[in-house]
Amino acid sequence: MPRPHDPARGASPEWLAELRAGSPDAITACYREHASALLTLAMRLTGERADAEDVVQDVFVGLPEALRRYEERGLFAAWLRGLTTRHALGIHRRVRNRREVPHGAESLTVPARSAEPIGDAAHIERALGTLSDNLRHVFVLRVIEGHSHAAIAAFLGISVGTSEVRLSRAIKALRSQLGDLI
Amino acid sequence: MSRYVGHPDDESLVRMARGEEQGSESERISAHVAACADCVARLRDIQSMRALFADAPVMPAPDAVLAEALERRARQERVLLAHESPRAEATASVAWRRLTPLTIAASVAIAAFTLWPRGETPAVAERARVADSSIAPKAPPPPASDNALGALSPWPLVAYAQSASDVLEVPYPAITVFDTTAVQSGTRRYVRSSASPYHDYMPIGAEAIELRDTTYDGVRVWRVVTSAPLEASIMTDTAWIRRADMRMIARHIKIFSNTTRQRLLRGDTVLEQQHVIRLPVEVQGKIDPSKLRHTSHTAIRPGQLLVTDRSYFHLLVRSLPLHPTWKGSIDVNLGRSGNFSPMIFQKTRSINVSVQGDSVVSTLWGNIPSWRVVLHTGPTPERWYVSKAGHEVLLVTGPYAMAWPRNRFDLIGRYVK
Repeated sequence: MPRPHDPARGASPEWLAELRAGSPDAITACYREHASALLTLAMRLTGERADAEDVVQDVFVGLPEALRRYEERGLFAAWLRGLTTRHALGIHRRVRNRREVPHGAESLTVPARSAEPIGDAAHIERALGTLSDNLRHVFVLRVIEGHSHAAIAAFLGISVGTSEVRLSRAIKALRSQLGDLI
Repeated sequence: MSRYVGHPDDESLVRMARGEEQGSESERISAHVAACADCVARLRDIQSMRALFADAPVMPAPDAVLAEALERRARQERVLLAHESPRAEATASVAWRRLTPLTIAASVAIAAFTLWPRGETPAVAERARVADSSIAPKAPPPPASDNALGALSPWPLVAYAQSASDVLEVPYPAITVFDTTAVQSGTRRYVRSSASPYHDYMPIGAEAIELRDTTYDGVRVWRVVTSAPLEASIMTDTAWIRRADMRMIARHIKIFSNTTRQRLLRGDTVLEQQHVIRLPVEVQGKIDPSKLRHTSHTAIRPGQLLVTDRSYFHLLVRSLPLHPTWKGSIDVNLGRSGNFSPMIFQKTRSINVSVQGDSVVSTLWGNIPSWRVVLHTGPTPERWYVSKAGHEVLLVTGPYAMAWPRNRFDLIGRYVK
């Protein structure tokens, strides 16, 4: 099977062709190379491990079909992250907790901070998890993924101004959460 | 022109941290930051945050996820992942599609040629539909009361009993005709009553059913969201039901503050259920994720209308063209106890449904003429009293006893705060 990734040229055309054809070997190779990063991204967007795994699974189930619309401009990994982002936000939008429903659902969605000592990596992911969905999405998309506010606004169906305001609030909240690490 | 007066905003600092800021704006911000201790600290914080997340180790992707993905592809399941503009996806986000054009066409063909009802001529059926249209709910639901309850729902507050157990097979024609114009978006709130003679009007719970006209995978659907408080958590159940034939194409169930979640996806020949146990962050990674996921498949007949829960059945009843001699059969998914189950499906059976006379149901908003719809679910059938105007399910009586919202005082005084 062709090499999935050429550092100099990105994804090789031969390998992409196999992936488009739905070759299990090509899908497996792609999964081995990219799934962990995509799972981390999906986890940060959905806030739940199980949802994140669903997102990654969906992405790899539909990847050959989605690749037919990939024009091989730009890095394949970046395209894959964009695909995962859109799908994660789509899934999250459909299955998210409906906070306008009464019975105190909102208070249940933000996990309490554990008193147990945990590693830095878990600490920062947990800090991110304490943000509301609205703030977390904007922070991840802007600061980590580097999307513009215009793109984020389109992703989330909000205005650019709203996106900027949410970013400020997210940074402020994370600053207090991560004070000992930054 | 500068984006800020005085201190730069967070977005400007993020652009600086990411190296996106160029030109005179960059120089202005740099000059300010160089002379402002507060902004130096803010910029350092943002740079640190970005570095923390960028350098954080990625989560190992479990092999079980890959194995499931390959298995699903091997079953010829396809997922269409939207790749148009983000805006387009925001309005019609795509997840699962198992319905090929061929199967959709087959479903439509099946619906078009299904008997209606058996023994009646098409002309009779057509007359029935025309007659039914005269009582179809073109008007809005009953007006809200002037008391606090009126704010809860535009529909009557009702009670219903638990479902029956045994199910009988009776050869009625399958339900395939629906009047989706009879269904209206909105939110209904139900008080569930055990209806036990020992616990007259004792509420065993309350649930809200929200109905929205939307799209799923580019298909116009009803989105039905049922939310119910449990003892220590909240369950939300979201189903997407294709408007064209009222068939459910996907469903998600989540129990919050608990540890389970279920996803159900309906193809034309298979019903897939995924159960996932959610773990607290602290123990994630310490247990093999494959042990926490379970996927099962149930074969179903192509074109089969499959009722998976009570709220879905409520929706169907609202769209049925009921008339005095109406009858049909419907396939339901049943749980371990033999009734509608929101969580675990054990078997699929057919039950017969028919209109057997009419009645007047007394509700909080007065007396409402209703059809008496009988579900032949066992030796003691289940009776649903369905309003003629609006097809709202006002009351359900089961094999255990009867629930009856006699008057406003009783329900307000006993069950509604």
